[in-house]
Amino acid sequence: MENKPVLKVENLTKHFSVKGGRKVVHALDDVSFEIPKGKTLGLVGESGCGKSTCAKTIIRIHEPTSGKVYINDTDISTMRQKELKPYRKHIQMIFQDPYSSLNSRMTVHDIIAEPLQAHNIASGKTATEMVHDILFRVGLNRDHADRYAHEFSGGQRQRIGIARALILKPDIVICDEPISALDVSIQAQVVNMLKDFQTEMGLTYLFIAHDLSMVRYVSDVVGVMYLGRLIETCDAAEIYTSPLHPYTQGLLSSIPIPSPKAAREKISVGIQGDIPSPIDLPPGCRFSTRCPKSMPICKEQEPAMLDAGGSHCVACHLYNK
Amino acid sequence: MWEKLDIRQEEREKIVSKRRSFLSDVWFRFSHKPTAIAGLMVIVLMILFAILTPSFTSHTFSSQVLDHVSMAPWLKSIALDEGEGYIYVNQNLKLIHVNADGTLGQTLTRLDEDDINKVNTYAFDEETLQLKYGGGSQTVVFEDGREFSDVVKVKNKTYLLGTDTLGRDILTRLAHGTRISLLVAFLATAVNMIIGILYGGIAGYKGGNVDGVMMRIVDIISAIPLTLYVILIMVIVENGMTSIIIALSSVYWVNMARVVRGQILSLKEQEFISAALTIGSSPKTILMRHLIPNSMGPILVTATMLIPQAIFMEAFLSYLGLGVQPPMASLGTMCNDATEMLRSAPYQLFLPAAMICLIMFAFNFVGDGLRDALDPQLRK
Ligand SMILES: Nc1ncnc2c1ncn2[C@@H]1O[C@H](COP(=O)(O)OP(=O)(O)OP(=O)(O)O)[C@@H](O)[C@H]1O
Ligand SMILES: [Mg+2]
Repeated sequence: MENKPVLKVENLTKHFSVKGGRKVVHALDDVSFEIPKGKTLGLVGESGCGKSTCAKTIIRIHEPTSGKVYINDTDISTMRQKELKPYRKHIQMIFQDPYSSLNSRMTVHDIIAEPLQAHNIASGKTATEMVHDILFRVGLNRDHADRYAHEFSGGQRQRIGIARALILKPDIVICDEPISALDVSIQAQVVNMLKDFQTEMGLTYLFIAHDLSMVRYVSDVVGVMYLGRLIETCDAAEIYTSPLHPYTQGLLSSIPIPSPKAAREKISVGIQGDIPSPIDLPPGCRFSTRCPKSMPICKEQEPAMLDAGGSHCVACHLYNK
Repeated sequence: MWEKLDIRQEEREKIVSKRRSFLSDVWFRFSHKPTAIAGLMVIVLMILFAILTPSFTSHTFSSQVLDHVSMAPWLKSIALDEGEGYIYVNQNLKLIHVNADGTLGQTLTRLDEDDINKVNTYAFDEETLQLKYGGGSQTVVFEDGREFSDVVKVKNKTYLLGTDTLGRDILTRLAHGTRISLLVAFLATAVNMIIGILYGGIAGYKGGNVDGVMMRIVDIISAIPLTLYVILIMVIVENGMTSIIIALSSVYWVNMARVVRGQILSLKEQEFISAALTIGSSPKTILMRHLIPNSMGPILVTATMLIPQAIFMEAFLSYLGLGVQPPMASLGTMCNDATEMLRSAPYQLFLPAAMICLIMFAFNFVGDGLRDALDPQLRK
């Protein structure tokens, strides 16, 4: 049973109700995936496509509208918060914004020790030991423990956030764009650190990013999201060589390509137009309004996620023979 | 030209700035605002004045000397010979001997009244003297024929700030009144703060329908002017200091609840609250360690602004006769007592009124300073 998924998401849906109306924001629709132990699923998509919503619904910051989330075969999607507490140890999250994700009225020590207190794992001296230990491992030192979060740089803050997520020794860590708020020079540092922790602690990552270039480096499998839906999943290597969905192709064409030769060969399929509102979705395929290869059927019927061979799944009528 | 320096990782991560906690940061900004510091100093002085004065004066707030009613801080009296002091003539033509140093001496006994010639006779030590008060001026005539009619202003050394209509020392009463007023204000504000934080905190944290119902209740309460409730409550319960505290505390928390709720609603969206949730912290921890400490700024500002409001309300109620009961002094009752004598003894009203203004200014300045210090983004 080596490839048993640690995290399995089935038809996860999250709709937000809009104030003062019966309309809903389709932030996340019918998303399913699974991540085997020790692997990384990279989730990409434009801003506002529901990546954070996906992460927060999995970890039950948001209550799912429907769908299931299994952690090591236990469904946590319908548990009450009290029952959920022991499972929270297994799944932790690193947040997008290193500034608002740390309480600026607390010292670094108190921030990192909070999970230990919440689960009655350690307190007092032992907790301090553990905090110093993890601080060292994220590249900070014990002098930083008594300082307040607002005294740190963005990169340092993000490392504090990582320390807080890892001190419970979770199985799964959801990284919600952990590096997008950081300076380029620090991004690589943080990503490498996350990779080191993965090999060392056998972590399973759900790694969210809004561009494909970083995801290629960290992920084993890549999932592409568009307007709340997962539209393509495949091996990280394959998504660059043979992207299937027109949206993925468009996303890839927006990555600067280092070699001029490759750049010349690149088929230019830039994506035109604006992303439609998640409140009034277009009929049929959600991408049909901007798709360069749109067909009549695309405006009528929503394509299902199907295997196009070799565990490469895509939701597009082009491949739906 | 450029050489790579050998700097170890720890060196790079070192934070060189002085370690400054949030509070010292706030204090730094607060202390650099002159009005705030001035306000704070006035408050401190006022508290010292209220606490210490009664132990320095020889009067108590309730002791009356009927001979010494309505004596101003500066006594207009008739000067006698050098070293013999002065004679103070009060409105009822009672004579009081004022010693040369300004302290009050004996009250002269009246021996004879002659309303027609406007001459009264008094006993002064072993002699008698006459006061002629016809023709707009007053003249003191001794047995041996010496006459004095020069009116001079003498500092009243026995009652530094004068006496009220019942002959009580105003300085002592002012200190006592300030003490009562501050005490009422602080206690009422503390109670308001606790109720407001809990109520607003729960409403904001629970959100949804709970919030809706709780805030509608607040709306209903605040739809009618709060003053009216306080007066109604004071009419029902017995007058007195405890009742005034109860009345103030049971009404003014609505503002605090609103402020706290607003803060918590906006803080709840921040990611550190989500983080606390994913960590597994209990709602109590989230409320007590994350939400409320982060709302402390606006809470403190609202509280400091509430103090002058409570002081004013207390003075107002006491002025109406609903508050502190005699002989206890509060700034409001002192104003009330003084209004009867407004024309002849304006200082009696002026002193407590000035005290109320001073307290209110001071607290408002401190509140302003605190708001700026706690929320630097608010400043231009
Ligand atoms: N609490 C909420 N209430 C209502 N709508 C929401 C809420 N949170 C998110 N949304 C909506 O859901 C959609 C997806 O938002 P989400 O934050 O998941 O995007 P994202 O992919 O993480 O974008 P980004 O890359 O900018 O972080 C957006 O249209 C957003 O407006
Ligand atoms: Mg996001």
